[in-house]
Amino acid sequence: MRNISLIFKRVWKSAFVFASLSFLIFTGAQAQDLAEGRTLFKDKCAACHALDHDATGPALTPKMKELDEAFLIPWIKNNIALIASGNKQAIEASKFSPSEMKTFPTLTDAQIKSIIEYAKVGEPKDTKKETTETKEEGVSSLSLAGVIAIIVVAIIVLVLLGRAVKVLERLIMEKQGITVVEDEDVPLTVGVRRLFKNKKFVAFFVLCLIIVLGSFGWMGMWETGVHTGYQPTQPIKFSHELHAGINQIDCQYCHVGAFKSKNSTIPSLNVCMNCHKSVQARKEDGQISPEIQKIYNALGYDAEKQTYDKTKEKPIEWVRVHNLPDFAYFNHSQHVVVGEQAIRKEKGIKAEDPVCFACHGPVNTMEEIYQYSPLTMKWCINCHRDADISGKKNDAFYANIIKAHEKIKKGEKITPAMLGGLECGKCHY
Amino acid sequence: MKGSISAMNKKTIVYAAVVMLVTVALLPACRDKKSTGLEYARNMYDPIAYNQDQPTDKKAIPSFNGQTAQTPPPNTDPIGFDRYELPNTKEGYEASATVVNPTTLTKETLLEGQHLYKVFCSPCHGVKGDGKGHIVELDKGISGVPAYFGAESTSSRGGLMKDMPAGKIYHTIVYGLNAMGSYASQLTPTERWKVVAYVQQLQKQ
Repeated sequence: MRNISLIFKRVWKSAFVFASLSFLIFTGAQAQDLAEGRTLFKDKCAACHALDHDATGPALTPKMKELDEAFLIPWIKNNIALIASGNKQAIEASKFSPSEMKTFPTLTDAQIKSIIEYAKVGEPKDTKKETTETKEEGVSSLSLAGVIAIIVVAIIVLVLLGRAVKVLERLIMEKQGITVVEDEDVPLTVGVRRLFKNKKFVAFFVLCLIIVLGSFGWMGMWETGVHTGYQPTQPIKFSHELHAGINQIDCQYCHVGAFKSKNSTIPSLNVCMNCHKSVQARKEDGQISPEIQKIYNALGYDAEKQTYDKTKEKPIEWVRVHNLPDFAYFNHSQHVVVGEQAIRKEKGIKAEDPVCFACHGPVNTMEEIYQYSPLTMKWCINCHRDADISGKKNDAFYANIIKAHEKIKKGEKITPAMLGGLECGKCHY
Repeated sequence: MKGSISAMNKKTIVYAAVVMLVTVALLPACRDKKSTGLEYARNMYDPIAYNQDQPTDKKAIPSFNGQTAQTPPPNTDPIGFDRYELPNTKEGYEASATVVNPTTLTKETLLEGQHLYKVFCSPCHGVKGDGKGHIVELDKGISGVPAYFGAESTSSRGGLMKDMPAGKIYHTIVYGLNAMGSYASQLTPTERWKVVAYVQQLQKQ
């Protein structure tokens, strides 16, 4: 009897192990299929298709569930041939949009099946990330509350100690035989008047007044019109840290004007849409990130239908951070293009960093943009006194001046036009 | 009586001194990051002419829709503007095949093309033109960018990517295609042709 039960146990154990192993292998194989499908989807399909919403092509998850493989495989391989062959389903499918679907003759049946499998299942959900994030947030607010609590307790302790000192002082005085006059007995006005009769106190009061007013005045004079650190709230929480830092988008990509004109230009929304037509940072419930939705709203763009409604357009009112007074002329391209080498050398900008950092600071670490440099006249002039502009790389401008100088030496005629006098900006700015 | 007054004075003086020190220490912290702080003669900051990227008076010029950034009035071209005549249609795209790159191929134009390519195209198309730019690698929604070279990389409008003529590349830069937007606002015609010249170098891989 005992033997039988032992054998039974063993068989049961091995069967269990076998079953669990085969289950693991099966799910592993499926996961591998899904992973392959995912890479293939990202590589071949994702340029035009999304899983849960229409893009250039229709949303794939519902389509893959709706249609069967017998149609999907030849359609994906060569949809044009399938339409030409008169397949009714194919002709129906081609009506989705006037733009034709690309053909994929090199994909094998197995690969297409793995893509279909992936499209049906969808993106694996990541719940871990969110919980850790909320935890971190909880900790930070908790620590803030702790600090405030400590400060409050400290104040209470200080007040209590002050009272204790008062009581003790009074006790000592009473022991020494000095009669104690209660503070409360003296009316406030009388007390203040008595205080101002004390010369020492008056002198001290005047000193305090001078220091306070003086420091206010000093700082007022130094900081009037100097906006260093100015960090206004922008209509969209655009993070330079994310775009220029983590995503490594070059400054020039958005601020094209800085390399061509006086103004560095805030990018128009079509520049945002170059990426954000596809990058929507959707949450798990399929909601587009509210900040990206603001771009769409300003454009009257419907992300689901992919259409623009001109009548709903309304400009986004970005708040200007760097505001040079109108009486000072500053040209971005002159500094960024012509003076690039000189500025790099003067301000010690690394070769891999953009020259913009010289004045705008480490923009790639600013979650919210702020003014890094004072933009005062002294700040401009200090650089103009020291910078070495004898670099050879961008010497077209200086070559002109040298040419004119040679002419002067020879006594020939020179005109303002030779020195850039025909540039529009010489008069019109 | 006398003792109590002097005691009171001493205490008041200490209190006053502490209050004053704290005020002086806190003064710089008072500065609000959200405000520009004290300004003298603010009207000297604001230009009388249009202020770039800033709102305009909606009542003064209703047609401006409150914006300063405006497109040119209809049927006008800015000085030196090179209008691209072919329409954004299938026919226009096919017709663009015959357009020739007007820039002469020199080391300098290629270098400029390379720089512009790196800034505007490589985030998606990859530094080598393999369709694996760093934004694609980040996997945030942009993917499936075709490579410029190879026997398998086809254009969604037909033909191999490596055989695409200069005119069609230019056409695509002007109008964009599928997920790619138009780069006409970021690149001038000359710059676009420099990029085209560099892309054609990448096709030869």
